[in-house]
Amino acid sequence: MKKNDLIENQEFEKMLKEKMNGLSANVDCFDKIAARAFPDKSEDFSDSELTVNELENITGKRRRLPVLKWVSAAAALLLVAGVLPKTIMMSNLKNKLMHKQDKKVYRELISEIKSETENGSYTVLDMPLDEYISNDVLITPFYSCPFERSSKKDMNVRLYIRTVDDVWTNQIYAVEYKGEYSESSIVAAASSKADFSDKEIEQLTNKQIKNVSSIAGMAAVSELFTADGNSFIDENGAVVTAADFSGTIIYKSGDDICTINFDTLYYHNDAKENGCYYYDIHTDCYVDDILDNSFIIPENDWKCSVNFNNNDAFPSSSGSAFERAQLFSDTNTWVINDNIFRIEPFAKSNADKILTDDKKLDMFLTLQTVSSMPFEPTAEISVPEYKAFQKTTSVFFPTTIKKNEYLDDIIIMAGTQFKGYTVFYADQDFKTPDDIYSTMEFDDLRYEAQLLEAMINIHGSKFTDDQLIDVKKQLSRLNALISEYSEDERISAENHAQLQKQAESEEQQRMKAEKTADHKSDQTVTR
Amino acid sequence: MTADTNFSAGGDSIIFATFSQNSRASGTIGEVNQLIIECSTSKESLCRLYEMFKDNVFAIAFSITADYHLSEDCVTETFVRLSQVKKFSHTKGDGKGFILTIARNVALELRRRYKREITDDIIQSYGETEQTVEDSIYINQLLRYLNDKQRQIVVLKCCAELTFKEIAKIMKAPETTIKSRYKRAIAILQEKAGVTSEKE
Repeated sequence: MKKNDLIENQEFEKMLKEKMNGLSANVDCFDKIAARAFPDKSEDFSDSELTVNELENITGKRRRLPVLKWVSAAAALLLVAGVLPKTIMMSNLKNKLMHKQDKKVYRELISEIKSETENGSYTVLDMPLDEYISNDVLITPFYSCPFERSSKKDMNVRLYIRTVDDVWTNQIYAVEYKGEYSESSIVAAASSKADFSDKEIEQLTNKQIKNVSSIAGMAAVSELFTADGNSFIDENGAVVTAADFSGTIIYKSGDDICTINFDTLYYHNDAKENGCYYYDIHTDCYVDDILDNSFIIPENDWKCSVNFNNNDAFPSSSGSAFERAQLFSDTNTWVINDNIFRIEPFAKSNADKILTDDKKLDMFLTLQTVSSMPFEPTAEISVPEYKAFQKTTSVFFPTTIKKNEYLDDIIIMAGTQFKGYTVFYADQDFKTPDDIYSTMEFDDLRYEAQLLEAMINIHGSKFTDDQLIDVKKQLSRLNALISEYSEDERISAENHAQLQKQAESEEQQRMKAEKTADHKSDQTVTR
Repeated sequence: MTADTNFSAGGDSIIFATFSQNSRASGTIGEVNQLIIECSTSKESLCRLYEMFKDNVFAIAFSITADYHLSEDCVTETFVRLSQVKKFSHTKGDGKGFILTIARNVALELRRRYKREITDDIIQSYGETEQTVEDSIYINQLLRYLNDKQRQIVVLKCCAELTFKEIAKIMKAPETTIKSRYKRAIAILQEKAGVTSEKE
């Protein structure tokens, strides 16, 4: 018997070895190894993904404007905008600027851009002009492109976004140029109103940034759409695909500075070719680390946009493929129904490895073994270049999605036939509402529970019976998780919260004292 | 390189890979050690080591990361680091074990960086061809039933063809422990793979 066991073991080992060798057979990376081990010239080794390069220059990459089937997040900039549709915003903006535009000469603006970006910390993004005009929400969710569409070929935009500890601010410069980027190829420039002083930047450095809530987008999708087979459908029965991304911006308006956590939700009607995308942005504003959602976020806050001949360069109308819609409910931003999963495709995969050549993410539902590839994509996502925001991208799927008929799991793949696939399994990679709650810290759980309680108290009469049941179910989930914390952890968390509040209060007092001292000093100088 | 991957164009998914095994001979211990000493200055030596150990390095990386692309990165990183080794004893060193130890450490490092939580769950991303994707899913479906250490031991034994003694040295565990973990792991895998064994 032992001999039989030995033979079966050996056969099994041989089988495993053959399969593993089959996997490694396609690995061919010696060129890359040799290039790093024996470099001929300085090369870019950003493949290792270990280099944080805040100047992500993608000049030279020419992408055609993709015909986007539908959209998904990937943050890019943060800028604040109002809730008006983009077309109205654009004409309002132009009108404002005709009257109020700061008459900044083109050359002075270019000098300012050069000086600022050489001395400050900026993220740099390059993209074709047409792409920025169409996909503005994917690139700068709160700002539209400040330049007119051009009939000339090879027109591009470079954005400089000022950062603090790699967190974006709303101080932005935009430059339109032709071909390769150089000072002589620039044809227009724009700047935002926000202008952080060095002192403000210094004060903001090492600032604690609160985690962005990952609930709002998921809650909105679970509320807006109905699970139907492998897809979501809207109220008209049309198949839609939805995704979101989140980020943080340090925003300055006038003299006020606030930290905005935002969640941008997109969806697209799959049946409509070249149709528009609908989007909405949920924001939490923190002023001096205190939540203050009364903070008004100005819309499309460009200061000026000028051509090389000093003429106004603002577009006469918006060419965005995105239309603002109310997707986040005022009264129900936190309840997630049980009909939804979420995948974060870039949380475990390098975007370069799974994006198509035109920078899209294709996702495939495998209903059977892979021998019938290629599949029709279940979902398609366009993502921007900025990798830090790709990481926060989520794609939503309904819980009614089919399992693989040969395996026990739901399997979604993302990638391409030639670059390889990343595989997601339902029980590991699909985030349910409970998964999200289970990763939250004690303080965040308590905060969420308090919000829900407040929502029930204030808005409970507006809920339908089913909605009220869902909210209460969600609250009891949260309370159950909170009670799992040990007494020690709870005390420790409460002490920590208390210490934090004390520190915040001391900081506020210090800032007030500083302001007073500055004010007195200014008065002395004036005299 | 000995592996050629060919794709048919136009969307058909007929993809095949052919490779020759001849150049992946194991080499003597002395030869491997000499190549390691030379590889910091000789591309040919590094290439030879790559051809000899790429599969083994990939296998150990895969057993830890369970991710094709991360494993590929691990292969790259392992041989780059190998080329930077300054001190290696020709007479005392165990070249194969040395390379696989580097591979293991790199894989653990990459997994730490790219996973949010350290769990025994397998993350997957796979392959360039139909067959490799299918193999990947199959292997991962099997290996997911093992814990982290069991996976590494099975792969080092089956794929890298190390002895228990060599595995014990890499994993810094007693040989008896390695043997018992391996036995247990194989029993689990055989059960899951549907291989039945007659018992006395």
